[in-house]
Amino acid sequence: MRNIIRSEILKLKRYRILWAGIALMLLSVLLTLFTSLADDGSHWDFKYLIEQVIKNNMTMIFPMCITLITGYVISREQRDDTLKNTLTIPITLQKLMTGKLFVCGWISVFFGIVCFVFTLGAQLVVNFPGVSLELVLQALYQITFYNLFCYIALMPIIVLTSRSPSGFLVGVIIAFVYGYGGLFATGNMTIANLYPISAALGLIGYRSYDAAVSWNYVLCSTSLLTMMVITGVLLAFMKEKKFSNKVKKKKTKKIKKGW
Amino acid sequence: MKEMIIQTHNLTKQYGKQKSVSSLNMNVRRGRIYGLLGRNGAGKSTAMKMLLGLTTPTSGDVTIFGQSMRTNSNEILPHIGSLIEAPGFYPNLTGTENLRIFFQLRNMKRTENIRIALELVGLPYRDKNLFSQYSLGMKQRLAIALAVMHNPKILILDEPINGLDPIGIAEMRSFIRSLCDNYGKTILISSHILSEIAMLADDIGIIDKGVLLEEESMVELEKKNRRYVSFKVSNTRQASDLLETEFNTKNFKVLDHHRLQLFDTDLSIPQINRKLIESGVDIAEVQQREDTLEDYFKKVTGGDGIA
Repeated sequence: MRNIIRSEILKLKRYRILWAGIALMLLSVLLTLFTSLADDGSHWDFKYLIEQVIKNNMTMIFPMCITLITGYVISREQRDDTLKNTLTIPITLQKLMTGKLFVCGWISVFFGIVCFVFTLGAQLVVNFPGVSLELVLQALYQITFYNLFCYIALMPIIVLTSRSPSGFLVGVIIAFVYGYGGLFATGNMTIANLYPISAALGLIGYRSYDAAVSWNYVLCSTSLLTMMVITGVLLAFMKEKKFSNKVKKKKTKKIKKGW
Repeated sequence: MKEMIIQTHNLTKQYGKQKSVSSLNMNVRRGRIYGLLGRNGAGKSTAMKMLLGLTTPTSGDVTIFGQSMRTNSNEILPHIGSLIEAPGFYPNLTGTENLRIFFQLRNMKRTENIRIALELVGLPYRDKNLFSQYSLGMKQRLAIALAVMHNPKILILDEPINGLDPIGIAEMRSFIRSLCDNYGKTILISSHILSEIAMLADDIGIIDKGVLLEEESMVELEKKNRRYVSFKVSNTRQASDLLETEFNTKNFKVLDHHRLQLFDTDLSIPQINRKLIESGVDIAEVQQREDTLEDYFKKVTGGDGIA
């Protein structure tokens, strides 16, 4: 497995899709800054900025972003026709997928750090009050780990939809709806503790200072553990795909010229 | 008789109602080059994919090193190097980086192997060019470097000369020959180019519409080849009468008004020439000929040639 992970990291070199992830992390922060301009009575300080960045990440950006990128990372073996080289080593599809999921977990953490850096940058520009070292460290921890936990919550969708070369695009849509559902789940603490996307918020202690927010860490952990188990089961029962892996090129329709 | 290293037993692959490969019984001997010859779509690639476990056979079995692929693929596959269909690599990486990935996946220890494999196929080590910038010939060479990098005992190469220029083809041919002669590799190579197989293979299998029609060593095949004398004369009717009456043979074939093939090669050609001229038949051309692999292919498959 160590070799698979190391090779997966090598494959990311000059991989442009990662830049799309970085751009989306920037978008998440810019979107938050944009909402700060609205005169809705909210009192904006650094703490509130962090919370809003995490909320935007959850509801709009990150589920879509990581499903897209992981989908690309997985389906490239079919797109680039490299699966045959790996299967004849032999390395099973399950092992390869596990390695890829592991590396994409690290990519989630990396995007979390990138998002944190952009948040700090935004803070330097807009200079909201209430900055402290403790809050900066909290921002780093919460943004980064939220991305990781959110990724865990999304893993079953990623595994289910990334098997066919362009199936992950369906996964991106499902992930967006699934992520947005987190916003509604937070309306009820029991559902919030069970719904994986919002349970990820519970594990980072999102707004835990608020008396109305009561996270049950056991339920939140169980929710995400269930997602990991489902992913494991999906991987274990994954049919060994036998080489029907070339992306079919779309036939271009010939336009009849003349009469 | 050399030991059989690859054998297929009634290997069949069916897609829906169509049999892509039908009851294939192929025997590849150790340390030899086996050329699998067939038209495009004859079932060569499907057969090779089944050998490598990339496609599950509908029925039948593959034995490699005397072990069934169905149950022992994990032990067998590390001893095989392969190139199936088009070369598949990561476009964002250089050739060396691509090989390093598979070097790691194979848990190999000596990085020197990457350099050696690249040098063997004439590609630069640690080149700056990305795979996406490679020409088709370079991509093909890189795929062969990948196939030989781990020093496998068997090489399964599906149309390895595709995309190579004439010099590249000649180089690849001598490279493949040297792998067999100098390093004792067993090589199974498929092609639809008759001349290539004729120049390279020790044994050939002719596959058509998924069926292995013939399996023979090239030496045996050469013995089987028909030899004949081809005449181009002014009047084949007169010439054929003369062959029947004067030389007592009916072992010839009239192709048209001017061309005739004589299969009775024991007859004296100068004597025939003299008699033909004496009878007033002009001779434009006399040639001693032998069936080519293409002729043989046509005879076996009952159709046109393929290249």
